[in-house]
Amino acid sequence: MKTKNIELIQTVIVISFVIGLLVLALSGSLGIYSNSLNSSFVAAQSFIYTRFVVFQEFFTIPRDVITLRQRNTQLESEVSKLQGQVVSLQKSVQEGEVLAALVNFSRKNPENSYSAATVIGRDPSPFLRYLIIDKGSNDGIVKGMPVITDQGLVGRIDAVISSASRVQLITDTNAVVNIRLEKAEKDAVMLGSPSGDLSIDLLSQEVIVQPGDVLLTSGISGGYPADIIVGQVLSVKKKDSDLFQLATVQPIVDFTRLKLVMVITDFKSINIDPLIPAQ
Amino acid sequence: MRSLIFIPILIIGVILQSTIISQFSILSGFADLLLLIVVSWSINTDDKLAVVWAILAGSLVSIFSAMTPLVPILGYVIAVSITKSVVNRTWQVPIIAVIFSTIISTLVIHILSIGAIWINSNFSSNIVELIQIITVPSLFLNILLILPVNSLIKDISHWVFPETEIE
Repeated sequence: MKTKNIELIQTVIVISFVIGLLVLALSGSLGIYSNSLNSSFVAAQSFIYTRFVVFQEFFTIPRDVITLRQRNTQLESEVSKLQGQVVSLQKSVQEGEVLAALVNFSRKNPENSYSAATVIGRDPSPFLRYLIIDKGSNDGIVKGMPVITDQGLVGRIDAVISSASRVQLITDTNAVVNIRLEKAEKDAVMLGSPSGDLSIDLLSQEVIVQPGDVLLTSGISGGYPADIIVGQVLSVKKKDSDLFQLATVQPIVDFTRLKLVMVITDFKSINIDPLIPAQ
Repeated sequence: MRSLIFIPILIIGVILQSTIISQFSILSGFADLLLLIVVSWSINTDDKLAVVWAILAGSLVSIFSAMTPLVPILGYVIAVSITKSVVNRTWQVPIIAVIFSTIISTLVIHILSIGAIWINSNFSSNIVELIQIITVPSLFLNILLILPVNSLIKDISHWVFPETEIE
């Protein structure tokens, strides 16, 4: 009986203590103590959680690495595939730009008929400057037709087979182009060389030539149509003791990067060789 | 008859020369793949038709090139003769024979080319300048390219003539 009473008293005391704590907590009287208690809890929670995460990663990361590696491989293959597509598209864009420029040129110069051709090779000898294009006699190409780009003069057809032609560049040793100095309004002859340099020879000392002067085809001798841009004067060698002055020429066309060219198909070159007296 | 395999090799060689090799230039010079193939074939085989293949190689080049056909044909025939002569004298050191033959053959073809241009056109260029911007770079590229070409032709020749051990 006595033991039962003691238990009842203990229970009442505990309940009273708990209720008292709740009342104090709800009334805000335990704020300082609860804050410090919460801080301790948070610190302990943070400490335990951090250790748990480390412990968890220790077992789970190897599996994630495998997954990540697989994903990385997959993404790398996609990147390489996309890079291939980018290169292909860039090439298409470049070709498109060249074609657009050629079309634009042919629209601006409607007096001639043009046939676009792709450069498929070069002369195997380093001493000669020739290109091989993919248009031949089947496409109406004949020997002597001028070849140009949207930038300027390239050369002329030197030999033709059914499906391809060989183009002699204006930089070739045997190439001779009758040009007109636009500023000085004088005609001259431009010569190629085995090294690929262009020069104007037999230019009278009285003619005023300066670096940067633009050169156009003169149309004389019937080899090329008139008024096609050829290049610019690069330098002039002039000595009072010489009869003529010599000018080197920078061609307007970059022959090393030629991909597409246009053949002027309605131009009939005139061979004046029989009229030149034999030496 | 086994050496007929050299015909497609030459055809592939001249196409590569015209399309790819001629694009890789230093200054104005570039390698002569057909010359290297002909020289390598002469070194690595005892083919009696080597001179015939040299004439064929020159003829193939003439199809693509505006150069007088005599230059590549004569040049390659001389190259074969030089190579055979060099191999007979330096048989113990094949790599020296390969490089020496390449140098001499390149120089011979370039001399012939300059001569042909000089005869056929109003040639007024400075010879020293031509050597500097065409011959020396071409020579360098030929020496650079002869080693892989020679290895390739050596493998092909061992496959075609398994009993031949020239070196």
